[in-house]
Amino acid sequence: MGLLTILKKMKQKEKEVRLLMLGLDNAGKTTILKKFNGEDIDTISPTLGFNIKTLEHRNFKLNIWDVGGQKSLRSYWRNYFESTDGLIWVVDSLDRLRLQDCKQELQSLLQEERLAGATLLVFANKQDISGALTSEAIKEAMDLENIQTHHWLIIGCSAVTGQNLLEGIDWIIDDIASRIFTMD
Amino acid sequence: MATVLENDLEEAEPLGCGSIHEGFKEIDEVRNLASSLPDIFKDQVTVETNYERFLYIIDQYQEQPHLIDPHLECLLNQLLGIARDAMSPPELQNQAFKYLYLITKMRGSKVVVRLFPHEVVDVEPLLALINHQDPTNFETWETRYVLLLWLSMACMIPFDLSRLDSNILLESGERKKPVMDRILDIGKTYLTMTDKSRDAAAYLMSRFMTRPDVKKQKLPEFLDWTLKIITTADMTKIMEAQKLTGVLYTLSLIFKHGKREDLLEYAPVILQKVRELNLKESSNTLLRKLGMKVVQRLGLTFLKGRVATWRYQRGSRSLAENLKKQDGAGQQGQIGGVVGKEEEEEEEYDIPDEIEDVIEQFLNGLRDKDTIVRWSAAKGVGRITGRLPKELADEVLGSVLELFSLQETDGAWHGGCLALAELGRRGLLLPQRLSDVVPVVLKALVFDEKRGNFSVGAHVRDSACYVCWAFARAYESKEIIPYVDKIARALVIVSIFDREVNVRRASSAAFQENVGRQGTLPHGIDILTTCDYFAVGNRTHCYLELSIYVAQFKEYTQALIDHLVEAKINHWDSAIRELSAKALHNLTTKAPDYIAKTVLPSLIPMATCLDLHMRHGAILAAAEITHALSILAAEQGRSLSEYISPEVISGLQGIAKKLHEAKLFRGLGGELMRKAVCTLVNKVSLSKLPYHNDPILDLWQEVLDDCLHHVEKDVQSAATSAIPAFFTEYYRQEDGSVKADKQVQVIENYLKVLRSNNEASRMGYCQVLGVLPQFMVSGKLRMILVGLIQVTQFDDKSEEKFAEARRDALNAITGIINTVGVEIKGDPSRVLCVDNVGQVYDAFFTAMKDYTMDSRGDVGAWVREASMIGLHSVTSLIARTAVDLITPQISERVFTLLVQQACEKIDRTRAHAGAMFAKLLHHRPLVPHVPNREQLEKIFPENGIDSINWAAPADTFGKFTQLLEFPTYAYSVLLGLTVSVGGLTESLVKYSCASLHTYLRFACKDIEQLTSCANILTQIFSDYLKVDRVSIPMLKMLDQLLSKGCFEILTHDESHTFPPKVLELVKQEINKSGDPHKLMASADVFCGLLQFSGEVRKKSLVNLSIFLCHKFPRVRKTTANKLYEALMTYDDVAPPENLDEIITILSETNWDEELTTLRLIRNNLCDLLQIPKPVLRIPTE
Ligand SMILES: Nc1nc2c(ncn2[C@@H]2O[C@H](COP(=O)(O)OP(=O)(O)OP(=O)(O)O)[C@@H](O)[C@H]2O)c(=O)[nH]1
Ligand SMILES: [Mg+2]
Repeated sequence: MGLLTILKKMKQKEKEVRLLMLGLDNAGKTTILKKFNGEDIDTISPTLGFNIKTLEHRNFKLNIWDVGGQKSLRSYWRNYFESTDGLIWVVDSLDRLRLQDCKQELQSLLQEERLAGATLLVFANKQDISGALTSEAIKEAMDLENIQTHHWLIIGCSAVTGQNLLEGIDWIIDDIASRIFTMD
Repeated sequence: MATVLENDLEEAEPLGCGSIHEGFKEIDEVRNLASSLPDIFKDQVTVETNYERFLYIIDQYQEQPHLIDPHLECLLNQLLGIARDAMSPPELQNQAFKYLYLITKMRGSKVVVRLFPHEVVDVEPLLALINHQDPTNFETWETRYVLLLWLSMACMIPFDLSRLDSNILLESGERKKPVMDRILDIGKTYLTMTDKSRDAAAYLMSRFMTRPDVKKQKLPEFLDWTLKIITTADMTKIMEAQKLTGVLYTLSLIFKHGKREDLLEYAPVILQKVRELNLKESSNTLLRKLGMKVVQRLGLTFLKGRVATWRYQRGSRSLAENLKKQDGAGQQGQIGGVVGKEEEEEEEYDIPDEIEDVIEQFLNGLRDKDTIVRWSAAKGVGRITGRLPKELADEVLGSVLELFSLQETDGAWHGGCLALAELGRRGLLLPQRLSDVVPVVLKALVFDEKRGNFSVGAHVRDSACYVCWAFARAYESKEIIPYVDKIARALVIVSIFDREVNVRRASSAAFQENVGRQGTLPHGIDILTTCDYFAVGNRTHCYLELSIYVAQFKEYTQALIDHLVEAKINHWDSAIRELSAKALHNLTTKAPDYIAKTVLPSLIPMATCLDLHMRHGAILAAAEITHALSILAAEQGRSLSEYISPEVISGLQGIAKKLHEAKLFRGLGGELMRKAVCTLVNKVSLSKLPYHNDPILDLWQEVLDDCLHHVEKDVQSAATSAIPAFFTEYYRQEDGSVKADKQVQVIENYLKVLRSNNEASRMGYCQVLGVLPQFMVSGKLRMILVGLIQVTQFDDKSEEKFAEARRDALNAITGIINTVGVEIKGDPSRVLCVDNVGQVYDAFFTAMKDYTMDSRGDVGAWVREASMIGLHSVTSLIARTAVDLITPQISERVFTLLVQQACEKIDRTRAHAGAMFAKLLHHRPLVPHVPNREQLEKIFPENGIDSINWAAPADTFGKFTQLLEFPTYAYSVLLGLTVSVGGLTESLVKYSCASLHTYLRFACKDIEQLTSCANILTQIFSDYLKVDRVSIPMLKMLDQLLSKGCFEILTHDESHTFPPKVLELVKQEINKSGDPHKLMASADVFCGLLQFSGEVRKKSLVNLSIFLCHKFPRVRKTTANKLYEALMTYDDVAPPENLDEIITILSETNWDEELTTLRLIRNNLCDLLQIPKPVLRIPTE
């Protein structure tokens, strides 16, 4: 294997981005994934397992892993951490009650060694419903400002209307692409 | 192998050595093959052909597997549907799995596995399917492989597996084994298999064992199991080595996928056991490599991971993006995360003792004799070091640098470079260490270790490019700046002067990366756009053109020159030495003073040193440089002495003498030296160095003449290209006339060699005579022509085989005539004139009859081709300058001979003849006296002549047969066509016969014309009687024409002379011949002659009846068959009342019988045919 082979392999890998989508149950992860992929979003039921979608976007091949968020499943999240380029954390902006829960789960993910290099995108979902917390409010409630370990962005969105989904995904791809590819 | 690279700042398309596809175009076919499986799986033949087809299509995409992606999910679902259907019989399932395996292999298991179903409900049926498999059936391993891979995905479901276990009792009353145990059993079973399913099992186990629930309940037990295998395995036994392979692979994957903290407690003991295996000593490369992998993963388990903080500073993932990007992308929403509390605050590290051992193992791995092991070790070094504190990291680097010593092998250098690159990529070579690292890398970039007639080191150079490429990514410009010029120069040098194309390309890629990310390389953009991936592909282009381009930038000029002098003119590959010398010639203008004052003087002692390669290269380089300087001086109107010192002049002069005295023209390398001296003489002559009247000239002359005797063509041509320049400079007086004594000496000597018994000598001397300058020939033309013409002819057998010498002599005549020119009434010892023109043409005409055959085939063709070239060239010259010399006789001979050759059997010769014919026909000014010019121009009109393919019988035979109408050409055309009938290729025979046949049938309007054609045929036959080259094809030709009825109108004209003439000629041709082919061909003609009533028929029958009792059974049988056919074809040959009986006898006799028996039968036939019985001749001897 010479340098030319390495470069060829790397060029292929540079075009691939692995995104892990997590969040509490009912946050809207699966809905976001389907909406983004242009699928029907009327028949979604809670995810008792995981979904993988591979989509082409802006000349990148996105591998998006969506894992169910119910409490019993969360201890298995770590099975999916490997070689994650970006973490998409989905928050149900109406779910004021579990916001602290939500914060804690995220905090512990950010401690995780295998996610250390990943970019973080927080989707403040369900903005189409009146009474939804703003992304600003959620940022404060979850104390995002104190995250020093990861590049992050919070953006309000709606999986139902599709609002800001593209913007969010574009940001996370841009951030991932703007750092050098280290192949580890 | 395909390589992909950003090129020219644009995205380059992947380049494969195979074809490049745009999409997966056979998808429909592939899907049909898949969907037809249920219909065909019982039909073994179709199963196999379909499988072959599937495999073939899939293989087309090994280089571009992603093209299948848009169809992948669909295709997999289709195949999985068949494979998992409980109703599918096992044979059908296996077939579906085979297809699935092929797809997996092409696209990669990691991609395919994501598309396998992985819901809770999938687990139980999958386990059932696996349990139905026979782990040892070698015909269905694909099924197991795919199933295990599938299970590796399905077992990632995020639930406690215990939730899948039911409490329902089985019929046996037992409780079903828990899922977790069952998967574990499966894993253990397949991990110890020897087929590929083992790899899938390893993957499965790594996914399975790292599940939180399994880890808790089963991991210790499983690791114990693996340790037992490790500690007891006897690696010398194949089966056990296989087991060990599976286990090591699994461990490496578990420690890769698992959570570090979970695994930490087990790492020390495993590391210890693996070390005790002492894999270093194993001859099994795969085991050594897996050993490296396991050690690497264990090592990483001991150390906490860290993220490179600088990764955002060094730009984008892709270089192309990096180069395009300028703006800071407008952001919305709220963004944060400074990431970069710099590592300064060094957390306290806890480095376990094991790490030392791990690194030790890597350092050994870097020296391994196999590349894949070195690779693994290098990655290990990079990854582990990334987690070490600075001081320790630096120690590792120190150890790696120790690999670069002269005691180490090329393998260690390679491993060392790989490690440096892996460290560099991760930013782990501290800037202060660059001063140690860069010099080593610069050495590795030109690493080339001679091993006699080849060298090793291409892999080292390639890996050094990798290091340079890595520098570009990890360092800030300011850190690299002190070294940037050196690195840039070294990379450019490798990009254009490395012997291997892949290294040149690697270097060009590294240069590009540095330009793209560092931006500080001198003239970086200019150079990378010119010396890109494609441009550096062609070595000659690199040496002779790209070098000049780069040398215009002063930062590079001297480095390029120095590299050639230090590392390339003494290269083991003579092609490189020669190219280097030429490159130095071209580079001279870029640094004339440096070259003249420093380089050239340094070459003189090298030119006579002990190292053969260096001597050779230095002589060539000195010669080329001297020449380049002389050109430069002339252009600048300076005297050459301003560039070349008296010392150098005498140094150049002394080279040949020293070589001679050291006997270096003899023995090994002697011919190389002589060749080099030829070049030297050539170039100093062109440079007009002042050696006139020096005794060295005699030695040079001797060396040059010596080379002319050589059998190697390039040695001869080194001399023939040097001699004209040499004579011109040193054997000519001020007034331009020749130094008479030299001329006499040279010409007499050369002419003497023309009569040598050694063909190579004759060839060499013919060649040199052909290129002599005019002043050397002047006054001696007459004797030179006589000498050369003598070579073109041969009277005795020993000379006959010298066809190549004859060719060279003809070429020499052509050359000389063109040198001296034509004057109608000139002096025959100086020019071509009325007195010698006939002699010259005769030589060419005679050569056109050269049909010498030897083991290589019709070698006479070379002679004829040379003659045709000569005829064209000389005729053209005369037509342009002294047209009256062309007589009608000459013109006619030239044209008829070309026409004949254009109809003969060798494609290449025909093409040659056709081209010459066309050129002379349409020559301007006109060639005079061309017979039937007007008609020729109609048949071969000037416009459109270029599109004729003269080698294709279909294009040309039809045209040339039209010339049969003209008496001047008829003989030549018929002769040519006849010979073609003897040709090898079917189309040739077909066209030659068919065109003649057509002509005779339709173009011959009356008996008169047919008769004249017939007469020419018999004329040719009698001219070439017993010349098998013509006479055997002639028999075939006659047979064809007779049997096709071309001479039907003559059948009742008993007075016509053609049939009896043919009969007579055939009889003469076969007289005393024992060649069965000829005899059988003549039997055909006799049969054909049966159509003519009267005497001819009778005599033919008599001859055939003789054949019926010929001593060769083959001849008897063929004759009986032919006669039978003829009797059926032609009426009245036999008395009608006997016909039935005759036919019965012919067909039912066993012609293999004793001759005495056959004679009786034959005699009976004669009676029935009413012809006299042949009388047995008593052999005279
Ligand atoms: N109005 C509105 N409803 C949404 C939005 N996103 C998701 N929902 C609804 O929220 C519910 C939960 O959505 P899911 O996509 O199943 O949530 P999830 O995060 O995948 O949940 P788990 O799979 O259990 O982890 C569904 O009824 C969705 O229709 C949104 O943006 N607006
Ligand atoms: Mg879901």
